[in-house]
Amino acid sequence: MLARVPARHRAAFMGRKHTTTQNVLAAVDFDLRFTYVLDGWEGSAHDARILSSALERNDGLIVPPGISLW
Amino acid sequence: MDAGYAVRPGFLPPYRATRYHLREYGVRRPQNARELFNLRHSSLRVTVERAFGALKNRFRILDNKPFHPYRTQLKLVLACCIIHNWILRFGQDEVIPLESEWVANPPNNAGPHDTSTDNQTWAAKRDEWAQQMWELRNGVH
Repeated sequence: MLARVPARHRAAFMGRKHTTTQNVLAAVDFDLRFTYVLDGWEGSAHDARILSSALERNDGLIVPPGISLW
Repeated sequence: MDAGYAVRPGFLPPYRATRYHLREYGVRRPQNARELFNLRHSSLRVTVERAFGALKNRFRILDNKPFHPYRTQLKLVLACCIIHNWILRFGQDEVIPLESEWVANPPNNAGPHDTSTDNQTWAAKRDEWAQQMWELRNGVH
């Protein structure tokens, strides 16, 4: 997602794109509704790191037993 | 999840170094359990891609360079997701891309890989489920 950030943070927000972006991690159900959203990670952050953060937070992503995310 | 993730409890990425985008029937059919698993994985991922597509179609503010302070930008994303959910439950949708017309994003095999190692219990489950799919598809019991 495109982002606008103060100049001192620009480098971190330059990910694979040629502009500043933020990452949005989301879990979606089969009706296309968002069941979990974590936004704000800078564009250069790796997906795996964002997922770790989503799992470690107090308000983080919880996978119910018997469910797998794909 | 794409192939950049490691297997974790409850999280099953596609197999790496395995063909990913194919049709189930036609010229390039899956040749083994892993390819079939990846094919079906891709059809699930399309759901996520369509949800993001709908979000950006619905709320053009998310598809443009923002002009609010960063903290507000974050709130806007969440607010739009919540309204999106509300519309799908109670309203009338006009922007969801059709599954039949959606072209799946290319696989991200070149991206940075998760440095953690695959969880062995769940990697084994993935193998087991992939094998079951393969046997069911081929009518082996």
